[in-house]
Amino acid sequence: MLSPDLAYNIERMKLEFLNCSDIMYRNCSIGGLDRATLIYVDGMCDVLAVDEFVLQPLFEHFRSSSRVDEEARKVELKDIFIPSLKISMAYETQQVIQAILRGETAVFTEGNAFVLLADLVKMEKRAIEEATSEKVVRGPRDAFMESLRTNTSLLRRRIRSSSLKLECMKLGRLTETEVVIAYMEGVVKEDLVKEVRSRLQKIELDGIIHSSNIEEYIEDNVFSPFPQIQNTERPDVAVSSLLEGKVVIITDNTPFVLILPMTYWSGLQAVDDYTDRYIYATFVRWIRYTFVHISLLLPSLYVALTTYHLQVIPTPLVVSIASAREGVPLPAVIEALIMEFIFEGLREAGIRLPQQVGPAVSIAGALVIGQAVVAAGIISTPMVIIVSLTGIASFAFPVYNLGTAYRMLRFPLLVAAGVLGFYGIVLFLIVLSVHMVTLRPFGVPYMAPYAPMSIRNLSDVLVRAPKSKMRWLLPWLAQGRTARFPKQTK
Amino acid sequence: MYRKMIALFLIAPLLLTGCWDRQELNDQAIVLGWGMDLAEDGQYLATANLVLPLASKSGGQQGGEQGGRSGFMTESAFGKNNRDAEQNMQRKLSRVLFPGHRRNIFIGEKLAQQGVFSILDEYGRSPKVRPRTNIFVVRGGTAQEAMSLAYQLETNPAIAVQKIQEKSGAPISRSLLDFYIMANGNGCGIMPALTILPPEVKTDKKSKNDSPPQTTLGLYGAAIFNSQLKLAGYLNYDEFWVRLWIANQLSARSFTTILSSIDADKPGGSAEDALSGATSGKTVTVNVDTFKSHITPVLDGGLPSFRILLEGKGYIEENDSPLNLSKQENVDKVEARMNQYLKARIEKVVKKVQKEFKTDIFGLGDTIHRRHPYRWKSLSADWETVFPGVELDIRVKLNITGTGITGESLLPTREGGEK
Repeated sequence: MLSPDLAYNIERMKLEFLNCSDIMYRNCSIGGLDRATLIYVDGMCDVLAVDEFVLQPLFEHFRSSSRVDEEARKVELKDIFIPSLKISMAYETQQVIQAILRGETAVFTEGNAFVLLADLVKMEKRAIEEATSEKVVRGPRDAFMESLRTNTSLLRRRIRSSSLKLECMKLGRLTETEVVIAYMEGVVKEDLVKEVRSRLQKIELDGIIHSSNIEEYIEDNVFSPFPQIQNTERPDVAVSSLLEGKVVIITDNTPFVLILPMTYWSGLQAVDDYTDRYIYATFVRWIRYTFVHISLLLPSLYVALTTYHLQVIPTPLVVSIASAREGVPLPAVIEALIMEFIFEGLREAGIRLPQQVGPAVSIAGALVIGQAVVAAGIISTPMVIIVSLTGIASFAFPVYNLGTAYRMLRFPLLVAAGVLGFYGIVLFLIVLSVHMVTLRPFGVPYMAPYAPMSIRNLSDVLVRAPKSKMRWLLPWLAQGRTARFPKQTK
Repeated sequence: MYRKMIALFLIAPLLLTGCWDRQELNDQAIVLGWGMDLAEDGQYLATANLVLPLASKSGGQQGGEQGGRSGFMTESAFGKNNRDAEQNMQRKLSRVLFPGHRRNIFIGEKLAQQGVFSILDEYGRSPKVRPRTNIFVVRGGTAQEAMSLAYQLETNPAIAVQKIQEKSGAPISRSLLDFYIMANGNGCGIMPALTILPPEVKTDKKSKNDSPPQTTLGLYGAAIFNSQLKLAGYLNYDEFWVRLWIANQLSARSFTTILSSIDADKPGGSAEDALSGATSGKTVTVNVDTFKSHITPVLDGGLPSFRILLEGKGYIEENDSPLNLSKQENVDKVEARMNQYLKARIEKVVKKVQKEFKTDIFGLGDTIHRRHPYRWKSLSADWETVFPGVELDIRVKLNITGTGITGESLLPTREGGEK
């Protein structure tokens, strides 16, 4: 509870914010008397607006006011801030502290056991920029950013419907991070929202630094290599997921929003699939499917073929592979493992690289690894082809973290192929597919609509049908009605 | 915990099985060809044609043979049969013989005459080899002779012969399988025959870089085996296509016949005029690329006879006669002359097979078997003695669909030609 005594209140605040150098106090003394004190966090409020809409009306008020009627003064005090859009009153100390830390300006006045809070928050933020991790040829360029409110506005300006719900929640014991659960009422399944809400509430962390903290907490199977929650920095992706009946979680200070539940196929659908003409989009999609499998299988197929199943390779090819492998000291498996290992290292170094040393690493990578190693006869030429093809293929994933799953699975598969040949590959793939079909993030089968099969939903999996033919939502996601739009003649 | 243990026990056996026969590529000697000869003392002499990976590497990079090394090597060993010889050969080789790419098997003439049943079993039994393999008889020589010969156009003679026989209109890479099928059906067999061909005219090398024709491997025709799977004889390069056509396996062949210029030139003359049967004169070549054969067994009363209708479609590739091919009646003349010529050739070859080899390599017995299975039961027992005497009514129906890109010849006047 606040006291009517201004000096006492300020003393308490100063004690609370001891050693917090960013907390600012501004006294308003009129006629030698302390009449009011403003408290705000430096750098989080709009100084000009505070000056104009708080400080000036306050001085006016105290100069002109002669009346001492408590009630009237309370009303008047509130009225003088009318120019400011968001204003509230607080009676509790904790409430005031929270508000100050959010960036609001607190006005303590003499003789009043309440505080006026003016929401004149203005934090430094960057402009909306182009998405960097999900590029498109045709399609909107804007991306989510760190500021939560900007992010929600990016959604709201795309869905001008009151059924877009943005539920707010504070997570993190110390950070008090704001998290918004967005969903389309009437499309999404009620149970899904309820489940998300309860899982979020169960999070007990001291701080939410990034949306991935949340992701790992609410995931169904943390030990699976596959991502079960999609993340995106593209508002258009988030919006189309909302319209499909998925839930989007926006975390403050994170430019990546979470989309859940994720299905395997949504990880293979790119934005450009929907902006290109559908025939081309289908073609590109199949190229992508092919490359996805190349990225997983190619090195292990090569190892299995050349060490176990030589019969399967056409004769001229086997002769040229044999001549290329001549003099290579390592067995094919070890050769493949070393090269994949080096490639992953190069990739990792490439991400963290300061821009100035970029060329140095690419020269070392291309020349030393690519050419010198072959010329020296340590690694065979076909292996370099295989590894670079696999490397290229592993970047064909529209969703980055699905690609990392495959990139990692490549290594155990390589070992299986090296030890057991085709048999090992098949064995591994059986285990992998069993795992994939048993994943059910938030009750939605991971491989849907392929397994379990829902034929009418395959129009967005096997092909990319024209938009008018993609009428149906996934039955596991949608509430009751599963058609996106009424049947059209065209 | 209990369930995890059970899962572990179920998974463990999966890892205990499988192919543990891991073999690095550098530890295998890839066999491309395999030859069998009969040695003097009754033993077999096996010859293997192996890929030399190092040689083909330098060859590929520098566009030529380096230091005189060719892309293959041959190795040989004596043995009691295929496997025994292979084992004996292994003691000379630093790498394991890998027969998975053994696409060509060569049989020496002597072995073929003695009978091939004693060595053919392994080619179908071993899981390492493929039944889609070519098998050849080397006419007038040994397998080793044929396999030692360097072939210029390909890195390896074994690959060369396989391609040669494919280009000669025979079915692709499956003569071993066909041999098995025939041997089990008719009791006789046929396989392509190779021979070593010296250049027709010897030309000397005048400078270091000259490349005159050299002695090389070539297709001879077909080798015919009787029911004992012993070599009965050969059909040469000009004859073996007859059997392929009748058996519906021929895929391409050009035929050249002679037209009598005197008869051909009569304006408005009938086709008969062209069929004067002259033995020298102006030639016409027809390239036939679609072949069909219909064999109808006729069984009334005693000996069975056959009606064989052979159809073909082709176009004229060369016309050295004065015929103006832009006129349909002249094309008809060529067609008629061609039919007559082909019929004569085919009948000659068929007669030769019936009288000399006495083996039903055309699969005529099979057509009776298919159409009249009950009659075949009584016929099949002594088919070998019946076959040489059966009547064959052969008709050839060639359809010329084109005359090339010129109708009239580009040469203005010809001896006796139309203007």
